[in-house]
Amino acid sequence: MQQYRIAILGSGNIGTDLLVKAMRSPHLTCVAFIGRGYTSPGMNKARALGITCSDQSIDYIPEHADEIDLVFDATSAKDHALHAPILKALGKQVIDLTPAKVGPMCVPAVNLDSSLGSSNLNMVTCGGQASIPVAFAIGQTHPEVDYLEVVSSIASKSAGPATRINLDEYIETTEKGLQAFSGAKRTKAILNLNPAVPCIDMQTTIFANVKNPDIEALKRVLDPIVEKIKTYVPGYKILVGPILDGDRIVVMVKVRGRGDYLPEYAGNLDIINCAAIAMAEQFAMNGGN
Amino acid sequence: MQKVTKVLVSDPSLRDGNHAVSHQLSADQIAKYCRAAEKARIPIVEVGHGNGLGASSLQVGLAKTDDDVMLRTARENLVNSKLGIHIIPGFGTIKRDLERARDLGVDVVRVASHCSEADLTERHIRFCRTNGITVFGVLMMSHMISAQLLAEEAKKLENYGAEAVLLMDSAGYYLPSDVTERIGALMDNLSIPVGFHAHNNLGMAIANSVTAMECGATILDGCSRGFGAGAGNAQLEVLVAVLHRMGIETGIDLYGMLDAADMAEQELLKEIPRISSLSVVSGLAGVFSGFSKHVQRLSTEYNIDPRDVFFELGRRRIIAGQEDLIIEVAAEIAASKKEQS
Amino acid sequence: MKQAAIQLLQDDCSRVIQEHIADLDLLRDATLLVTGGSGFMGGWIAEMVCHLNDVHRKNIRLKVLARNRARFQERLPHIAAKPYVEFIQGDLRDLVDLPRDVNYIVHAAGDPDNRTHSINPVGTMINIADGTRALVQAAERASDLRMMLNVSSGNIYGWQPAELTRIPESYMGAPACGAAESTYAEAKRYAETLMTAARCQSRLPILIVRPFAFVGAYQLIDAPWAVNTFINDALQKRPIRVLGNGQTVRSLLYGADLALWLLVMLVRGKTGQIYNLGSDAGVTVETVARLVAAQSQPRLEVLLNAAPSRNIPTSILVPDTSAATRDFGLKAITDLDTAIRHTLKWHQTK
Repeated sequence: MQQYRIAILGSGNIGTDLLVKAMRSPHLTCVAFIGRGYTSPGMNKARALGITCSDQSIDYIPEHADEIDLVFDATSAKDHALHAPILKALGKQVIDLTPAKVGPMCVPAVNLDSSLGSSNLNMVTCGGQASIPVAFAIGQTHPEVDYLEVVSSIASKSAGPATRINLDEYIETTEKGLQAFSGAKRTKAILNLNPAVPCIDMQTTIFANVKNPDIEALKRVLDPIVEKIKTYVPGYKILVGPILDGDRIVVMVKVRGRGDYLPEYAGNLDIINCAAIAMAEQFAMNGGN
Repeated sequence: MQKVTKVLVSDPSLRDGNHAVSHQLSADQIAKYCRAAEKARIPIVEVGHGNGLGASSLQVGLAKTDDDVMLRTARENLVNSKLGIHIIPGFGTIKRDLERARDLGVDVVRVASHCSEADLTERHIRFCRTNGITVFGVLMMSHMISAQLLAEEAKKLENYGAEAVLLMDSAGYYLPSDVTERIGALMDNLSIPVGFHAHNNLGMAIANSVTAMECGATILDGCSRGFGAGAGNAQLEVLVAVLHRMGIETGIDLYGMLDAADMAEQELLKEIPRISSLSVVSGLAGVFSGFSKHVQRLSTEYNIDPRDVFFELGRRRIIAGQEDLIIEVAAEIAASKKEQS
Repeated sequence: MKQAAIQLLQDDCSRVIQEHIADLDLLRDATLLVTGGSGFMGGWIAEMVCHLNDVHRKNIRLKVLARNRARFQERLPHIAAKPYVEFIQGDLRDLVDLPRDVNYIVHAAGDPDNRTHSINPVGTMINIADGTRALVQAAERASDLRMMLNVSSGNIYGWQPAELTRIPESYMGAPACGAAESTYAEAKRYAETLMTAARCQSRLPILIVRPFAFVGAYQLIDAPWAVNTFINDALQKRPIRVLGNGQTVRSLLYGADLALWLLVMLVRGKTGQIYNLGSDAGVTVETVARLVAAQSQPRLEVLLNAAPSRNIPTSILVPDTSAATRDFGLKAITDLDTAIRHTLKWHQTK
């Protein structure tokens, strides 16, 4: 079978970590690592790995359209809004790691199959990838979810200037994702940055107020979902719960990254990349195009 | 340095006090206290959930009164006193919270972050500046980094457009010498006014506030009867009396202030803040004062010594906003206790 | 290097470390990365690490990053052979990933030889700037980095005024901007500020140290600093020739003391702090020459080489090190006479 060929747009931390993950995958071949210049550490890494690099940004793709099956966009929401129509016109499968929300939201453990039909998939947010599977399980087992809340703590070091500037967008996108997948009437996302050294692993707590909480039923649905997540995010772990604390359901999740390009503590960045790779592999196994 | 002769007093009783009653202040209580504060000519009255706008949550505690009602109520009852709010990026957003606060006529916005994370505040501060709202920057848990680093973070706030910077001793950890060092560092590096927000875990709230003023701080926070998280804040009516005795101008009417404090005790407080044994431990451990109710509840639930919980939280350098981790710590302590027995 | 010469260095380490063994316990089981690790500083740091491991069982892992493996093995063969030492060959400017387990970094890469600065000023500046950039970018992804010590330079203060006996860290002097002779100092200033920017933006724990002048083993005998040429003259048993009138004032700290100061500051310093590193005992170059001369029997002759007086002010470069003494109890333990004697002996033994 011909290898499924992927290109990575964006040579920052996310793009570089994706590259390392893609190279490990038996289903994917990275044919281009594309940025805006050659001087970043990501470009150095890609070159050292022997990958074709380009500084032509989106312009590279139309010129090499025949060589690429799928494009990961790890640039920014603003840039992806410009890239999306170009990639669509070329008929490329796109996995969007920015919060641009051009395509439908995708969380592989929850909606892998239904996502296969969309040419542009949005990977929500890191907090979303960690919490939505739990929120989904709560929604599946409780017909009335009044309120769902997700609190994530990440290492201060794992949040660069772009993350900090876009904190409000993170909250908004995560809340939308939670609502869409759980059916909760109201949702809330909270993010804490903790500067402790050694860096803390990403930790996410899901709280829910539901009518007639049924922890046993929730466990039955949640357990296989968690097993599914673990197939693509090995560092995903339920730390506490599900428990009933007063009248709220509590589930605490820890995500330890694989430590590919990004360090282990950056589970928040690892999980979104792992999810993106899992989707790309699925496209590859479905025979690509 | 020029001697401070005038202090801007800001009263967060209706915000920090909410921590002490698990965020259960009612609209009626807010209205009453606002009227008393107005009468006492308190310059700024801050209202809201304990962690500020948009922070009502299962994580920190659901507020009895929603932000809208709190702000409307306060607005209706404050004329000369300014209406202030507290907001922590990560909890409160511009679209959901700040725009509404602007529309409801908030006068002063205090944008707060953990002491080392000032860059989270840039967009919120910018929003206030663009909309012509007075905006102060706040560094919480300020005992956790050095004076030099605090000055650097404070400088970021100034660069973003904050019109004053306040240090919060959120854990009640400071001794007067810590205040001198840190407020001094800010005074040496900023061109905008500096303020201080004390907690009383180690019995230092008034002394620390006076020290801050003597180092050049011109904004001081205090709450009626100390109504605030943990062991409470600097007791406002005492602080005002002390400042007046020192010849410092506050613009506050002392009798009105004392009446407001008496009213608060009658109508707002469930119990008068005191330095309980647990508060001492919390202060020593350098743990966020707002955690105290959660720690007590979970320690009872898990049948463990709350002092162990406070020291463990301090050891892990847990910061404000990470209330969920108290559950984890409590569960771990309970498990290790079980193992030992 | 002969065993006897190695023993001399180890004896020096043992002698200076006595009061600070407890401080250095913070290095226990830690991984220390030294960039530019085969130079004078790298050599002495490695000696000190060997002492801490071999005598005090601290179990430190030392990783040395430098361009030239052969040079490292040639200069420090006994260090290269230690099981806890790993050499990482590479150009710092191309560094992408740090060793995952790194806890402490001493960034000592950078050639302080002013002959290189004159021959290759552009390369000097680019190496310092790009090497430091690569290092801070890689350090952003280190998960348990406890401190990165940036080795700056006493030269960043520019010209020391005659009325200032010792330069404190707060001195606001600077090298002349745009001057050909400022390349190295200006690049070092840039590196300091870049490190500070990384500290503010990425919360990297960073300490800046400004070293002055030193004497001891591992200094290249042909290096252009006065004391080296004097020692070279003494080893050759020839008259000691001083360039100029000998009135230039410097202060010299011994290599073992240097390594001790660096490691104590590294583990006990707080992020954001800046310290001078050196001896605060200023001496004229002529005095240094006479101290070297006195080590030989019969005493060697000292020749001054003064140009006719042109009213050029005397060059002074002496640090105020009271901050290091106040915060860490550090002081120069090895006096200058001992330092010179030990250096000569090492050269004669090795």
